[in-house]
Amino acid sequence: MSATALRPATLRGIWLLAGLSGVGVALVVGVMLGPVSLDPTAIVRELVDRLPLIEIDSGLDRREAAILWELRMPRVVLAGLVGAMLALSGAAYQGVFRNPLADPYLLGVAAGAGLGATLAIAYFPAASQWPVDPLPLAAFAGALVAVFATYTLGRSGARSRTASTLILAGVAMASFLTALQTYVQQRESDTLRQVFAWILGQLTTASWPQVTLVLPYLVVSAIVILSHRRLLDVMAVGDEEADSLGVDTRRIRLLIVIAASLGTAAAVSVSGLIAFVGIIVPHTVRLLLGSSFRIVLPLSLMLGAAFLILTDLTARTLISPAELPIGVITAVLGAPFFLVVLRRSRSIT
Amino acid sequence: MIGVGFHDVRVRLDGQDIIRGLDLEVPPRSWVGIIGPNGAGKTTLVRALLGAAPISGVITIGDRRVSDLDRRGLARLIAYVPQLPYIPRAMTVVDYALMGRTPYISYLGVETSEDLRVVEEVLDRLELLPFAGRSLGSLSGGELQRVVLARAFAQQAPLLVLDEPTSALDVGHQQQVLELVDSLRREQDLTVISAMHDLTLAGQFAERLILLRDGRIVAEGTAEEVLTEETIATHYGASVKVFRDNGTLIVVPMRAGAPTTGRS
Repeated sequence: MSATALRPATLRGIWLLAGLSGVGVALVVGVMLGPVSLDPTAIVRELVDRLPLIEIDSGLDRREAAILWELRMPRVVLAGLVGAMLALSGAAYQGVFRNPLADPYLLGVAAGAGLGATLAIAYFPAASQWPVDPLPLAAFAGALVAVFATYTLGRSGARSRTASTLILAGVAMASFLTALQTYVQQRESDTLRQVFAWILGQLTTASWPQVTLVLPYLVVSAIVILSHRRLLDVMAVGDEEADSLGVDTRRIRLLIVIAASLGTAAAVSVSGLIAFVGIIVPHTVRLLLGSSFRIVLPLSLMLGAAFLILTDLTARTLISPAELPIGVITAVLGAPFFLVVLRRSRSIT
Repeated sequence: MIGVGFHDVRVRLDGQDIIRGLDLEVPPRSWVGIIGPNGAGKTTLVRALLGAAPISGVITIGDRRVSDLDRRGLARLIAYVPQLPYIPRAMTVVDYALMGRTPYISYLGVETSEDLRVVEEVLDRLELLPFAGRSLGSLSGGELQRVVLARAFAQQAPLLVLDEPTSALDVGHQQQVLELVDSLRREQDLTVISAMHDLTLAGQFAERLILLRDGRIVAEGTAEEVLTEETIATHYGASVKVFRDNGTLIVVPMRAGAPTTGRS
């Protein structure tokens, strides 16, 4: 028998292609629909026209082009980035905490980021004029404090650390941090409107500067997480065994938690709190294609982007001309999903 | 071929002395069985060897000190089979065995065709090739134990450390696993150190037995020398009979005061 008879888990080209097409389709549909419908073929021609060295006429008039490029495209791109990051972070937390229920929202990371961002908005209102906008950094600091507090509480809370102990600690942490955030926001009522807009999700006011604000953080975070895909698979057997295989589990866990929290914080600082994306997307990938992180991580990234673009589309068209907060839709989809994963993880442990 | 030396090794955990000054030479290509009552320090001794417990004293593998080796270096020398390995049920047999190649793969690298070749050889040797694509959750207990061994052998380490490797298996699978370890040990000149629960099996497979109690070696030698009714009564607080059958020793618990009818 030759070595080719063995088939280790790997991301097959066809899945990669399917994931990319999913993002492409979601993107086109996302910018196509709205109060003014745009012609999908014209959108594709516009996109191709933007490629270097290619000049074609899309057939969109100036008003339509402005709707496409100034209103819808930044929103769709931002939703895609946020969705990709929340799904990837969720999968990464699930790996290092060995907990199928880990999610940026349920671990309290998102709430920590929210508190950090609120403090920045309330006490440094002029900060957006600074050379480096401190909003994502403040959110990052809050996210890190939250995730370490949750992990410590979840570990010491119960002798038998089950999947739900960590999540209970996370939910308690999230409530606590959200309460602090509400306090700050009521006290500093001058900035209340700004904070509220932010909590409900700023995707409504998405613009290109926001995309460029968070993009570097998201890229760094995604690269760090994706490059550890093989080691995350090894960490599935637990610290003692992974250590005996030559893996420094403590260092990797720390690095991945920092990277995932950075990504979450950057996402949260432009989108507000969006729950369950980190559970819905990675578990769907696992269900369909297997549990190796070599498959789960890259596909969660792509499907997360497509998922949140389409969710945002639903949020802004369902009760048009009014908008639903996007978190409402992810929660409606995510809560039942969470219960299914909870039942499955119980039957395993 | 590589030997292991423990020189005045002490382990203190949470203010308690778990290992209290232990000296031991494990010659290359030998199988040393570590026995002793619960809490004697068997698992801690294994963990100390793996670099996973804080020690004073010196542990050497070949001519190198464990404390001088980094994790990867250690993982190339010691393949470890835990008492209750964690089984990721959705993982396939080949992916699980490939994890054994981790010490040879660079930090962010991926497996090479050489790694795949080694794993294929190991799976073939353990008669696991037909299972290569199966998920671990679909295997039986005996098959799983072979898969865990496959990962250990894929590490190609000269030293195999087993922590009560068969405690979760029925008697038939216990024997199969230990026979497999023994034949691979002879084929590949491995040194084996195993903490063992079952005294009869320990006496049959290990060439030398180390009896630990309260973190000290209280008896050491061949099965003949260590597995006596008096020694076991003293250190396990157990009432046992030791029978001899064609040169192997059989240790059987006996109710104290109950009439015995065995030939001894």
